[in-house]
Amino acid sequence: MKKKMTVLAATMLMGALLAGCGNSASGRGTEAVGEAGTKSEKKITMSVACLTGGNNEAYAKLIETEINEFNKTNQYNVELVQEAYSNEQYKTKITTLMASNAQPDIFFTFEAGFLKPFVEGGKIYSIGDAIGADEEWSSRFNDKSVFGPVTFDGKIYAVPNTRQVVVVTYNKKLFEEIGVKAPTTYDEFLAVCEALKNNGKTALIVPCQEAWYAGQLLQQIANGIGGSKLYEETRAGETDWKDGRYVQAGERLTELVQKGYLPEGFLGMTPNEGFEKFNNGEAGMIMNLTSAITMFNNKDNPLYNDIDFFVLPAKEEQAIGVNVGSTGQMYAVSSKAEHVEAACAFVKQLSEIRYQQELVNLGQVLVTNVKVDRDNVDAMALRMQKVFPEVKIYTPWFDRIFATGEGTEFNNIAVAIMAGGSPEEQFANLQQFADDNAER
Amino acid sequence: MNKVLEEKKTVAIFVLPALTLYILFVLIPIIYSIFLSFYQTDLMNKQKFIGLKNYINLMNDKFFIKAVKNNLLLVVGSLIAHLPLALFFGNALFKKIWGSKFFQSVFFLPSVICGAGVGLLFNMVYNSQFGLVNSLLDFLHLSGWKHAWLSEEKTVMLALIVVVMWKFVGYHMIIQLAAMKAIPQSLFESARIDGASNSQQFFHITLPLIRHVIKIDIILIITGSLKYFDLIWSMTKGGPNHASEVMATYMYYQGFRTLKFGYASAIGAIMLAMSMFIIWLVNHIIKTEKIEF
Repeated sequence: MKKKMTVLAATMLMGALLAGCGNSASGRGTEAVGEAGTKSEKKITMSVACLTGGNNEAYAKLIETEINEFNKTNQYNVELVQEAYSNEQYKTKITTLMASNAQPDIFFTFEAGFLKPFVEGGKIYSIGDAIGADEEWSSRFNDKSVFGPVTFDGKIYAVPNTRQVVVVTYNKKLFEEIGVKAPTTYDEFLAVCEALKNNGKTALIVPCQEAWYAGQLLQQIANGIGGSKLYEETRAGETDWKDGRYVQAGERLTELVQKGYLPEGFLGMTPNEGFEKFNNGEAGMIMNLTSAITMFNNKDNPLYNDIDFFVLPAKEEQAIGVNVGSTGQMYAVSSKAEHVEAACAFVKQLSEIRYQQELVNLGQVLVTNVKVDRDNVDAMALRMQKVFPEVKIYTPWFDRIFATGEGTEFNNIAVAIMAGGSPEEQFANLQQFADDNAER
Repeated sequence: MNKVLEEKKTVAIFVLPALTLYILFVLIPIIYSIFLSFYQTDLMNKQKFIGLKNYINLMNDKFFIKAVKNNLLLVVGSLIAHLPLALFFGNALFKKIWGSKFFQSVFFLPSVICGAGVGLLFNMVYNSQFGLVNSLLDFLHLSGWKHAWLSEEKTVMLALIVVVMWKFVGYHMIIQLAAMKAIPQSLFESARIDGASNSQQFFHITLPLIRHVIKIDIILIITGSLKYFDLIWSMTKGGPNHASEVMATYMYYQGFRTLKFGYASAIGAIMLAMSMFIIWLVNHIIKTEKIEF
């Protein structure tokens, strides 16, 4: 009898634990707004997770301001608390929390493949329902296509605030000194690199310690060869990574390294080191995201008036205007948020004038139609915004589209190619990984 | 006291809290992890029983094979580096050289710093732009030897092994030094009277009498080398392009970055099996007897 009881108790304990660890993903789904009501009787504390570190620090401060405002004025008896993590740390943190069903109530997110498994796991509240029910909020987005990368099965799961593209930031004064101009073709780009090198300057900084910097350069070169057709075929699985156009892009990447256009030690260079080197006038160009303008537009920067931007020119004519980029500063609400209505109100608050104005002041291009004051916008930001009309098609980063492994591996092989690996071999490796990964 | 301990119920009461915690936080997670290793799951939506497929896939996964090779490299590197060095330093301090207490603390210090802290420190030391190593090479007019030590596939493992040595040699030295101190001084005095040199004393008295501790130390080195994580994660995250991947970092990558928790659990199960096998093997090869002085 004793033995039976022991076995029964152990089984129950095991069952309880396994149930705790297992799938409890159904969450509250879209019914949650109705359940939550408006004002909570007791004070509810909810978390807001966002990025910080490097160029994200400025955005984290904006979120802090918005949280403080929300805490002062909200009618829900809700207090928000900020949690901020560096980019790489954040991706792991969010995944871990999602898997353990302990996700933050409101959180920064990337689009597409990053968000998809969480949506499928029932972890995210379908915020599109709340937007649809609120005409004022909905009307702030003229172009509903901005929700495309965060829409699954016809439902919207996150709200973007900005557009971002990958640009080449360059030192205009240095260009003038050596007699070159911002290139308009890929061959001109190579000629500029050569001229900078011949004048004893680093041509292009790509800080590869964070592999996605290498990945976005490789992706942009591939865009310039295969255009949006290559991107769409890849997304749809109609071509694979061994496609000759990718190998050709890899060869172009190798060429940049072999010709000595990148700085010594670029493989181990951190983004902050790269930005510092550029701001010290040691390099002619650095490839970065538009949101990284915060690393340049400090008024104390001696290069403040000399910094300008261009998009990396396409190698093939039919590929002009296809650029790595997407929407940014996106926030989503957990399906387990303790007060979904309040969480949605906070995300809505981000589309209001104060936050939108601050984003513009930081040089960002908005996806909303909120009327902001552009008279006091940073001069460098205005220069940067001129590149946006040149972009006709945005191709989001592969590590967001194929988030679960394949995209990360794309970045890894970009570093491997830059370290001297054979493009053909590296892309074959990536394809092998993609095939194997589907089975795991 | 002995009478109290003779009563099984009393013993059980004392043992139960620790046992409960052990079952809850060690045994059950291990069993659950092994259970998950037979599934394809992201712990959220997908959950499909696939039998041994994760294990079969692992055998064909070149990143996993690379990780195992790196672990074995760390095992060999650590055995070669830690044991003789720890013995050498331990014996030197045992002989009470001048400042031995000071050096004892100095050698032991790195092992009390957390792995992540050591990782951050050596990220600076190896930095390709301003790191100590490259600056030293510049100073010695050996600029041609400069590397992005942690970012080049050819140099990263060598750079990591040096850090592992730096961090753990003091730890193993202390273990061996403690064993040496337990040997009665009279044995050394007799040997000295008989004209035994220092090296003869070491090889014929010290070494045989600390054999049982060396065996434990070997087990600690090997199992420790198989489960390195924090140091490597904070320095390279297994990169560049998986060149410094070890089983623990690859398990973490597969679980928390690619959401393949079943696959990651299979890696964990293999790590467990390897550690258990190695403990058995070392116990089987190195036979020791309890020594009483």
